[in-house]
Amino acid sequence: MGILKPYRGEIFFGSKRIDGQPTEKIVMEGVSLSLAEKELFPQMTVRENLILGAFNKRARKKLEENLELVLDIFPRLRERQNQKAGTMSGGEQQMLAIGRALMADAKLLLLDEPSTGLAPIMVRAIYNGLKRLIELRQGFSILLVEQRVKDATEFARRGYIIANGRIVFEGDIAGDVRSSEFMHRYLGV
Amino acid sequence: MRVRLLALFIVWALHIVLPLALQGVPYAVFILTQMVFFTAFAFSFNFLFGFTRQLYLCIGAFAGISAYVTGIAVRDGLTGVLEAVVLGTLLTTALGWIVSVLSVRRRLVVIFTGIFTLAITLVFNNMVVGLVSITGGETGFRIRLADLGPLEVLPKNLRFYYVVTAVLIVLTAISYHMVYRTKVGYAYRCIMDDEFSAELVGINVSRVKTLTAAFSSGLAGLTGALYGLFNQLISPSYYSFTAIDLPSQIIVILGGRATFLGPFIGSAIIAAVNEALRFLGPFTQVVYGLILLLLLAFFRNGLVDFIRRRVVGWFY
Amino acid sequence: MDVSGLLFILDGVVLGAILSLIAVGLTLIYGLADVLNLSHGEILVAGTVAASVLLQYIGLPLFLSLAAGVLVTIGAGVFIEKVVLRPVYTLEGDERVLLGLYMTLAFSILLHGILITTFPTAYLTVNLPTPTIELNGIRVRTAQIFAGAFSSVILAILFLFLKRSWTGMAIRSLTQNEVGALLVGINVKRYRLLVFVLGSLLVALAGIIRSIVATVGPENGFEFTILALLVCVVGGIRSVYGTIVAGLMIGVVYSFLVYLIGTYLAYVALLAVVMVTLLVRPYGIVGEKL
Repeated sequence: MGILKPYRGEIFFGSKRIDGQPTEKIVMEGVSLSLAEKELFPQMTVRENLILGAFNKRARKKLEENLELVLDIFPRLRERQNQKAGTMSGGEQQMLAIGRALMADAKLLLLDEPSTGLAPIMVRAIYNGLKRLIELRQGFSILLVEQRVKDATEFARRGYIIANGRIVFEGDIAGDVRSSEFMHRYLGV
Repeated sequence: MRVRLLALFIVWALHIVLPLALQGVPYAVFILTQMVFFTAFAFSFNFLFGFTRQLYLCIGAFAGISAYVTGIAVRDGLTGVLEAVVLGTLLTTALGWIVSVLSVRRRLVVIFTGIFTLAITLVFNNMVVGLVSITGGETGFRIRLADLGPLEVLPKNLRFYYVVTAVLIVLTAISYHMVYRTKVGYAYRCIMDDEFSAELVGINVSRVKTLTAAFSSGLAGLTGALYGLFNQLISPSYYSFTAIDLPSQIIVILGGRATFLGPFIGSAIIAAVNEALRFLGPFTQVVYGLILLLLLAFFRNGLVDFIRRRVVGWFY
Repeated sequence: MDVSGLLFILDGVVLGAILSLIAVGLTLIYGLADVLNLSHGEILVAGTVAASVLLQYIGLPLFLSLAAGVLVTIGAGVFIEKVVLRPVYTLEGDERVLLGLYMTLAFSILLHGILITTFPTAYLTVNLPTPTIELNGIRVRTAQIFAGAFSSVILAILFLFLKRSWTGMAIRSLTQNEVGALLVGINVKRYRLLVFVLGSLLVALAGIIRSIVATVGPENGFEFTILALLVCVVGGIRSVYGTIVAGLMIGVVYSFLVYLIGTYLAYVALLAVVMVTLLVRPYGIVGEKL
């Protein structure tokens, strides 16, 4: 996303090369990132944080629409619309971070370990929200980095396993993955 | 390490010998005396900021407080010279210690300590100018040449020169030994490296910081009192931020923070630069600003560090 | 309360508004770039000096001179951001704050030296062609009221701008979380420059308003910086709202104290307040550390 520089290699989004590009250009291209560290604006309300998510010119036009969507999939955020982001719990903050990334009207949504450090009930709420999201909205992709295999495989259609910096598996994930090659690769058997 | 100690010895030796050698040269001893005074002020700042990261922007004010106390005591015949100096020094030691205790207790970040001490400087300046009846306001007051006892044999400049130099040498000798040879010094170096970890390991960081502050403030006070006696004129312009704090900071930055050679070398350079630029008159301020800017941009760690890296590299 | 009492409050409010204008620029710059711009007051003076020179020696009409002065101040601000602070941006945290402090201090000294030696007589006084009216036997300069109104309007516009506009929100977000702002697609470098421009503009306007009420001379730079710094500390060095409130409060209290105990002691009292604030609530009256 232009925050870190790759050691080697190139990154393409569609046919455009994006490594080396400034972050705001990458966002304009249609890539949006939500970090595990959240990086919210603590003294702004939930609403303000979300509105800022739509900062890029393209997203501003669909501000109301996307805002409704986010508040719909994460009802907790709707409840706490006018609460300052810094006063919320970890799970709520993570929802807000994801919601903010959604506001950017991206074609590719990058989700970095959204379940990190969260209580199971919160993880559940987040994944429910994500499932609702893909019901309500099409035409975009989500790249999810997760360590919680069960949640990730229930949610995703295609999976990649990275071990020691190399992709050791890529393929479709369907249904119960427990006995598949996927699990074999994941457990390193 | 040996190199460092050797360099220090050389510097000390030069300090003792130089003025005697240069006695014939007009004005030279005066410049040298000014130089050692500022070396002392720089040391004060260095111990505070270089070693313990306490940004005291009130060295001039402390020096001034001590000078005024000493000056008034001498002028009004309240005490003898020695007692007056001791009084002034004790006062600033206490003040510096209190400020440090407050900062540490309230966990003030570096910049806030800076602002706090800057406020002290401003208070000092304003009170001195405001309380005209006692302090003589902007113009200050003069005092007679103090009786320095056995040192009377030497001409005036040399007298003060050797007093201050003696203080400096004793001080640096003791501190050097402490920092590099004792357990206390070890604690010091731990704190300089990583304050938090030092705390975790059991070092009483607050005690080290407050004691250092007390010590440095005492040094500032002592030097300030002597400076006043030397100039025979106690006035706010001698102890303002631009007169004392700024040069001290430049010297420390120039010579290298947290080094023992730093203040000596920095002060020597500044004294030389001062003389060289004297012809500029009012333009000196401009040049100082420029020099400081360039220094910060390129030699952030000071000349001593720069030399150490380049020159010592040759030895290996 | 009789008219003379009101007069003092007016004096205080005007002074306070001017202080707020200066201090807000400082707060914004600190919040955004982690730099305590100690040359803030100096660039104000650079502007008034420029205006004064153009007015007195070149005979430019008042409005143009003032406008030029504002541009000079903004130019100085941009220069600071682009040139003076370049080595500072490679550092983080405490180191950045310290180096920024020293670099701006050095620049302030440099600028002060240049102004004092080149234009020692460039004083700026703006005399508005407004009447001096008499109320109950006390003469009131309506220019004062003008100054107060003008600065209040600017502050109000600023407040709305920061709260409502996209640019204003972007600026606020940058003072809270730089990474977050990046993620959302904000160009940090561009906004940093913008904040410096904004801060410089505010301080330039403050200089002009000040010259309506009192004469501004080339040697006043540091004084303005210190006052702004004190206001920022009391108001909370990262809080725009706190700074504005603190500015107004300090303006009124200070004017009142000057009347009571004289300039020097009033200043000392102000300093004492600041020192106590630092100890009790280092993050100002707003109080949050976030």
